Amino acid sequence: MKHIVIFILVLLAESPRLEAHAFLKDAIPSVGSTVQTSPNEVRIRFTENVEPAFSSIQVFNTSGKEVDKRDVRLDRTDHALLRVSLPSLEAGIYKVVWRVVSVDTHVTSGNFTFRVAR
Amino acid sequence: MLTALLIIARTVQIAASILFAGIFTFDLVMLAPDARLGSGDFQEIERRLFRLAVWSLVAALLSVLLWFWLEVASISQLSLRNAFSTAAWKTVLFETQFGRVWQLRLGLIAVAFALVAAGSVQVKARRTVIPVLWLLSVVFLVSLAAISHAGAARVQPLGLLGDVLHLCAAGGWIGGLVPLAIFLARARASVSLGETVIPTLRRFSTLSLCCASILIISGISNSWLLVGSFYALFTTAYGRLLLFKLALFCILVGFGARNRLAIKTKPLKVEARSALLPQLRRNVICEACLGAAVVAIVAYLGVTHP
Repeated sequence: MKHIVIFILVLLAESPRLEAHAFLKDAIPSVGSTVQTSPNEVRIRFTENVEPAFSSIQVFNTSGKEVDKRDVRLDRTDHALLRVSLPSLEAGIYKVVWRVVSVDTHVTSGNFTFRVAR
Repeated sequence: MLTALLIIARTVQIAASILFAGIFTFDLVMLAPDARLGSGDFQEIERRLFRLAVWSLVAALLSVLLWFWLEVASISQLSLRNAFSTAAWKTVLFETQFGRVWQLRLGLIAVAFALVAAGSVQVKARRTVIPVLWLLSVVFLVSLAAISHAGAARVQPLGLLGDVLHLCAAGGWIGGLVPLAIFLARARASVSLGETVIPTLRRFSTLSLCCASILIISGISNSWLLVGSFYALFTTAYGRLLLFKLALFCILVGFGARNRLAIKTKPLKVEARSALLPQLRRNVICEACLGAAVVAIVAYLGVTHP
């Protein structure tokens, strides 16, 4: 019994907190970053697994035109990683708008920008 | 509006699932050991339990459909009226984890209806059908964990395990309260059940004690994983709801402890028993009402961000 209690306490101590809603964990290009060359794609990793059928990433240029290739897909091995391909981008600031549905059906959305320096 | 309806649908769905599991746990663990005694009364209790199972399945089916409708509208950002006018419901049903869990739950409801109908019509078939129904009710109950906050986590087997244990324990204790009230009502009016009342109550009391312990341990574990700190417990809506749930749970445990004490200390003579049973039944009904309130809070927690 003592060992079971210790085991549970160790698991609890080492477990990261559950977010329960999918929020942006990290992104490539990073939030607010400046990249020297045009990235091939935007990758966003969320705090929870997401449902690809109802999740989207859109990339807009400064004039509000959508520039991504509209091929949003979930990573095969990491179901919290969403990707969208990009064409070769001109220098400038781009806005990434995302909306995802987590596996427990909660809807979250957000946006960030990155800059292409070239 | 959508959130309020979602909380109602969740409350009915969780309550019906817990009750359905509780009915067959009660039948299997409390009644079966003494079923050979006073068979007429036991058959009457089982008949009432099967009728209750039918109503819990009806409630489960209606709330499954309502919950699904609301989720389609919420996920696809359509109005409630338009939720079924597009292919959105098909995408939700076939391409999301929620939809796959709902396919399983609808299938289980269909099979459960058939088995409950068979058990209601053929008394002899009940002894075979009840263990199958119990197993089915447990799967039906724990499948809710797959669409819980813990179920959405990327790497978190402890959260999912905690949810599964929490649901099973709720089914064993809270779900068994209404069947226990039915048993006590019949026991009060029956002479042949006299011998079996106290052993049945003691079995239920022991099971409740085990279930309450599991609820406490899994509750602490999941609260830690979801809330993360004592500060968040007092400063977030989720934390305050959790504290309210904890307060109701403590009252529930108090009722349970009072009943256990009454069963252990009161004399087992017939006169004393006739005074004890109405008192126990009142306590059990109060416990069931508190249990329903706890389930409503759980439904609210399900739509609240931790």
